[in-house]
Amino acid sequence: MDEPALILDAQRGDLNAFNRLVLEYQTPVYNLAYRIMGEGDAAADATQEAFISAYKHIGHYRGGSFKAWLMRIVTNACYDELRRRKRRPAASLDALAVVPEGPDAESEAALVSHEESPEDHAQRRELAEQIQNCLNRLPDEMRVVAILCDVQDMDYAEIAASTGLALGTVKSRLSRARARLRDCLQNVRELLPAAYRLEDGTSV
Amino acid sequence: MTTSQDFDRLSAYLDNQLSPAEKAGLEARLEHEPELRVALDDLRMAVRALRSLPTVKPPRNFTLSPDRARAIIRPRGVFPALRLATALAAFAFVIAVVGDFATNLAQPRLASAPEVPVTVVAQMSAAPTETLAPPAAAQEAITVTREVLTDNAGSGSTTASANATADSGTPPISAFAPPLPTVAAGGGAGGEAPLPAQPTPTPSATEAAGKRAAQMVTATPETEIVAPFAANGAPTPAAPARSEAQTPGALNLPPLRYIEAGLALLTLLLAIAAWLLRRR
Repeated sequence: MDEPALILDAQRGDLNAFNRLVLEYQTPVYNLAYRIMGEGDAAADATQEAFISAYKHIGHYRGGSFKAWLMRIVTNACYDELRRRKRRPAASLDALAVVPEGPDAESEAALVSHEESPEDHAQRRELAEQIQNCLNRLPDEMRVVAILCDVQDMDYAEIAASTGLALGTVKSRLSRARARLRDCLQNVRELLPAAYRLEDGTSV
Repeated sequence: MTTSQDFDRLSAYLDNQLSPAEKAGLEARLEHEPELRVALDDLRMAVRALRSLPTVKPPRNFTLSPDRARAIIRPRGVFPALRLATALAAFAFVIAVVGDFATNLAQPRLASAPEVPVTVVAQMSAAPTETLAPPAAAQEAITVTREVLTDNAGSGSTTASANATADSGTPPISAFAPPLPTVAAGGGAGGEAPLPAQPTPTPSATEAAGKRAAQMVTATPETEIVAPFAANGAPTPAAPARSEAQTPGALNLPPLRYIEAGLALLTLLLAIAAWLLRRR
């Protein structure tokens, strides 16, 4: 994919070029929204909202990482939705409490290896739910940074570009988010695979 | 004890974001501080757990259809226009309310304005003027007349008013400034009678208003007091005309209230429409 050419064509109004960019990035964009929002419907809404906003404002894109630009848009869309939920808390707390069953769980299952036993799959899914619950308990600004770094595998500079934060702020928020996650995960330590708990070298 | 700065360094160490000097310093501490090593292992566990989260497959494609794309790039002029209209209507409403409030503030001052000497009243009454006193105003006028009667009882000063109006030789004037029965009983002391400045009603208008006022007065104990006014060769009592001066803005207020209500309703409707449009 010639990304710069597609972006240029999209800026000239070529819808097909823009849709090719959508297909390229919709999985990371949706996953970021899914981890921030904690449930599939809200994540889909935020993702669609983000791509609509991207199409509307693609003329304002001035180079740099297009993925970081998209991530920033979807992060803002998620923030907007979270703010709306805080104004109407009754409709949102339940949704944030647990990872819902249904289509999202099926989507995850679709990516699970077929070599995995049913027991392993169930345990893996339970662990994913516990981790997501720990993520949901983080403050929004910490959750976003932790997801961008440890789920989306973005480096500090990309996270700073995606969130509009200074590098130092990214570093400190990530540290605090990880410390809180560590405390939360102590409760599900037995679910964590032994490999997670190995006290080996510096590699993660 | 592991401090928050230590956690910052450990977190950056896991991401390989420390400078070589910082990294060497931290590794040296890790060799001698078991607590720091435990903190590092816990952080590493948290990072591994997060990275173990599976990639979620999007439930659908988020590509845009040509229709959707056209709708997105089409300028949405309705909402800004509605928002502007709402702001303008709200501003007009505030202006109307402030104007109404100012009118109401000014009204008591007019009512309590110092009364003019009777000579001025006589001069004013020489000129025929308009004025149809509405029934409500007539009723208020009766009340005011009572106040005047009470205020002037014993002073006898309004006799001058009677004399002055009689001198002017115009029948409507006597209707406007009639001799008060209490004054007649108290004697005709001279001097200036403190009567309020007021426009002079025409005979026909005053007569009609006077009749209405008299009808209303018959139901009250003061009938004997007011009745002589009308019977005193004058077509009307002073009350109806005086009521006009007492409430100079009375005829203007109802339309102002209608305007206020209309503007409030308009603002509300525009705000609701803008809100609904925004939600869509």
